[in-house]
Amino acid sequence: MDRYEIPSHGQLTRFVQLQGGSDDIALSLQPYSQLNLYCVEAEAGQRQVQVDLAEGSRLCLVLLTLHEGRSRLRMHVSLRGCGAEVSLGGAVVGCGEMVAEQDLTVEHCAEGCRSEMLFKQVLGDRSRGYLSGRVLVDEGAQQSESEQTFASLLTSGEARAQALPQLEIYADDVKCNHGATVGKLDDDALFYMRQRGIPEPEACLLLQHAFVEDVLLRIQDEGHRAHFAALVEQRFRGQQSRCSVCQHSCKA
Amino acid sequence: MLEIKNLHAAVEGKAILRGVNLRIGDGEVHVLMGPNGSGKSTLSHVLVGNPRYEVTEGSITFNGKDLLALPPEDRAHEGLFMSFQTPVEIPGVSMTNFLRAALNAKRKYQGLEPLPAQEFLRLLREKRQLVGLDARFMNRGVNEGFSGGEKKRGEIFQMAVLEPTFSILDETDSGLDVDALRTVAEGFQSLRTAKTSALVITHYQRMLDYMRPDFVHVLSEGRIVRSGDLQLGYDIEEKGFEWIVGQSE
Repeated sequence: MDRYEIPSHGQLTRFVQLQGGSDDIALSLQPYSQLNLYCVEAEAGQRQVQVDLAEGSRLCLVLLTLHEGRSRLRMHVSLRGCGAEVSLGGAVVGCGEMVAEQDLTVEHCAEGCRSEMLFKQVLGDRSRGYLSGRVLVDEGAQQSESEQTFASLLTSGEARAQALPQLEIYADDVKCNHGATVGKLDDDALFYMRQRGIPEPEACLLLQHAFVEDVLLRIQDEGHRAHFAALVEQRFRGQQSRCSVCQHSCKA
Repeated sequence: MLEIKNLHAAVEGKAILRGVNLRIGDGEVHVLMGPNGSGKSTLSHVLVGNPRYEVTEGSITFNGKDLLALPPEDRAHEGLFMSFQTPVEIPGVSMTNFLRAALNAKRKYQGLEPLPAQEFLRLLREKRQLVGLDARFMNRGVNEGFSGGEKKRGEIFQMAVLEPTFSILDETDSGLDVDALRTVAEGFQSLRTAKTSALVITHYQRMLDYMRPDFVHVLSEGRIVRSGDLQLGYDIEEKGFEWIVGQSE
């Protein structure tokens, strides 16, 4: 297992390109540390991630899934110290026979913690996306706040999406929301755009990009955000979306 | 410019238009009035090629071209524009990016290079001022969170940017207060040339005052049952539709 630790009061922003194969990662955020982690999954893999957050620490994770194979991510986040915060954002752009499974658990173990999950998938061709998210609020974790949003857009009749947001709450003073939607491109919006002269493929592309935009907006740093947006656009255009062919030179 | 012959159209299998004939020349403004459900909006959606509407008979030629053979985007490139009765909200696509895509697609169709970024932004600023649309709407999603009046201003703003030769205003006046209507109507009038024509759908005399149409038509049960000049519009305002619809039956 690979272990990483962010020291107390440390701040770090990292861009990571995930390789194929299998990973087993443990992340530990010490008190009042902050980690912004932006990951691109351009190759399918089996990944297991455990994250522990101490008092007052914050994790912002954005995961972009663009591979062409079959992947599985299992992630368990434990908010162990009071006031810890985690924001998990994910965008899956599926085409061909891609299968992406994401199984996320956030456990609120201490008081006053916040968690947020925003996962979006745009699935075309015969791709499959499975999202499972569970927020577990332990007995003593009062004043917990959590929000889970899963949204899937199917651009082909043969693509399939499954989204399962779940809440398991053992405390009585909490604010927890969850929601999931599955839909197709808005015909009215598509026609409106075509009436203005935007060709149908371009209009679809703009709408798909708009769908995942709020996930990308979680990336605070403009350079990385532009990089992610470019990768998403390449993918929508059916081009290879690997860092090696990208013009943005991010420091990995 | 536009010639509609014996046009029949249906929505979800239900016949709405039952033989519309209409000819609109260069530089002319025509107003279309009629009771609710008479087919006014259907006619405008058929003109711009909404796939929900099925043309079952008849023809439409636009500047000599068979309009019905063209996809919606090519009709737009040929110069057709519709101001929607209910403009669609498109969250996540900013007005700026939306119009850049639309304008550059049109330029590509005309064999022109995309407009340089600075020129494009200058164009947006100039047209925005024409219809009194605030700059903050440019970076928001298209029509997202716009009030009813702002949406209608937004439609005329888009029209100003895309410079169509034939515009359809589908109840652009509904939901506008007096001042907003004046701004929108003046914006529209300032875009008029000897070559640009329009079909204006309205229920209100105020719009007739501003538009000063060359012709007024009454649509009833999918057919044009009366055509006349501006006076016909005022007569309808005074007496309603029944005297015309009654006579035509």
